[in-house]
Amino acid sequence: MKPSSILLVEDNPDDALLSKRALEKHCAGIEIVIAADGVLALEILFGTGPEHPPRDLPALVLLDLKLPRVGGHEVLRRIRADERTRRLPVVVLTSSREDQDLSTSYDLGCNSYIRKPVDFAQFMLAVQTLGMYWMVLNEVPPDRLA
Amino acid sequence: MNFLPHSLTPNGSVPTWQCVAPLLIAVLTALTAGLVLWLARALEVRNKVRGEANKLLADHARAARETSERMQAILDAVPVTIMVKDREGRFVFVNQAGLAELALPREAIIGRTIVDIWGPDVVQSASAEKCIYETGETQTFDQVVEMGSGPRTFGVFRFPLRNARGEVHEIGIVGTDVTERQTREQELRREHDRLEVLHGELAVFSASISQELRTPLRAVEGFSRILLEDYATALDATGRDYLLRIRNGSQRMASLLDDLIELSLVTSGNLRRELIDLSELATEVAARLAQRNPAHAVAVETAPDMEAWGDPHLVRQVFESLLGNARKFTAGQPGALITVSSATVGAELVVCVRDNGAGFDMKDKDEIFLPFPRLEATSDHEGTGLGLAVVRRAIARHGGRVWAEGNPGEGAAVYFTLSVRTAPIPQARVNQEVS
Repeated sequence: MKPSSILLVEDNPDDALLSKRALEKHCAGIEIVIAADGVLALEILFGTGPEHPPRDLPALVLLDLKLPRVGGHEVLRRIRADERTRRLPVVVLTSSREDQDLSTSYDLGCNSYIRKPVDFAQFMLAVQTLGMYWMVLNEVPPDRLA
Repeated sequence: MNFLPHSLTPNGSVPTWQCVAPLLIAVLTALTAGLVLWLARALEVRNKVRGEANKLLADHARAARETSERMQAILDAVPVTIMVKDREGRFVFVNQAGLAELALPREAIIGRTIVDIWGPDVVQSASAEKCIYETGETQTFDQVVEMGSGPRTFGVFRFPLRNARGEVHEIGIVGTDVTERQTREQELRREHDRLEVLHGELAVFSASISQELRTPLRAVEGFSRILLEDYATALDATGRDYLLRIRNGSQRMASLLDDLIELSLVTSGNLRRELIDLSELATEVAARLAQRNPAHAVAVETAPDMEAWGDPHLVRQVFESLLGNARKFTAGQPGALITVSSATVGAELVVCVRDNGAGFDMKDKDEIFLPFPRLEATSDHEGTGLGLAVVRRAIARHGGRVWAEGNPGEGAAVYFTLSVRTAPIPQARVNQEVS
């Protein structure tokens, strides 16, 4: 079985930790990689930057929108613009309630858009459900190896 | 009485004429005296009557003069233009205020028409005035007049004046300068609109603040739960107790913030108007509440065929609050029953949500609708928080009323009104308190 990973792009360390915990609990054996801003996320994906050697693409990207340095929409645009990452499943996971963010995300080609539930129990349930759907039920796109 | 005859007749008897003559003279004298007396009396009476009549006339003349002077004084004192025109459009009377408004002396106006005074270019209201002669009806309208100092608005009232035969022979015109009042009204309206916008913005602002606050709260909730799950054994009983208190506090805060968001959303946002099946809505909300809390089994009876006009989203929130409260206050009670019923009163549907739970003291009947009311604990039930404040705000936006009845230990009933007719829903009512 190919080792698989999820890239979690999230600047709020508490949310990141809670999400990581939920995913690890229900998606056994999957590595959760956390990027705290847009620049790091892109470095990890494209194997650029001094600390991030090239690696297998993750099976799923969970992308927050309000990120420092490079925002979520820009990250999404770059992912879709590059041959290597064009088909990568990207799920926007954001606290934004703006309708505009919803439209833009889908226009830029996200696969799914989730508003983070404010209630903790519902939040954990959402992340867990996400993980199980995309990692277990969903078929990853072919030729995803760089 | 013996009258001595002047002479005797040859046979010694008194000749008739000698007897009669003195009698006649006496009678005539008496008659004349009587006549003179009577004439004198008549003259006296006539003079008396004449005197009284003159006095009466003088009194009436004086009274009439006083009345006329009083009327003139009133007409000249009021700060309202009063004018009278005849059928030819000539001014017959103008009071002091009218003279001031027209800025002309009396001589220049009386007996002349508008055209005589200001020339043929002046806008004529002749046809409108003709209407009064024909129909005898009054006219009320506003008119903007260009004065030297700029345009001013006058509230004008025109009325017919009738002669002794009941025909309309003149027109009365009363005009009040309402420019200041209109300006004030416009300013008030603008201020009102501005405040409404601010109110809406404030609601949206507090909704978004509440959202923001929920996010760090999620971390508190989350990690305290994880601690409890994964590290329970590392803590002693006291430690676990403290942790539970942290969790309860954060859950309470989460619930308050959720209520605040709900209240803000009820206040702002556009109001939709639809015919709502209240029976169906109440049943659905009751079912959902039961599903969320299957441990609290409460029987809910909803009357059928309840319909009214309103915003379905807001009315749903009303039912969620009222049914939620009813569930809270009947929790753990055997035979707990909630009923939803209604009655049509005129143009309104009065809906009642009643429970047989803990109830409340009627002295608090107004306070319970405030946010976070502090009531006497009728038991250890948690309070209603913002629930009833949300209900009141939502129903107020529909132009309806809310009130409650209850007794400690005997349950409570909350009533609210919605419209059954398709008249437009007022956004705010005149004597509505807005909190």
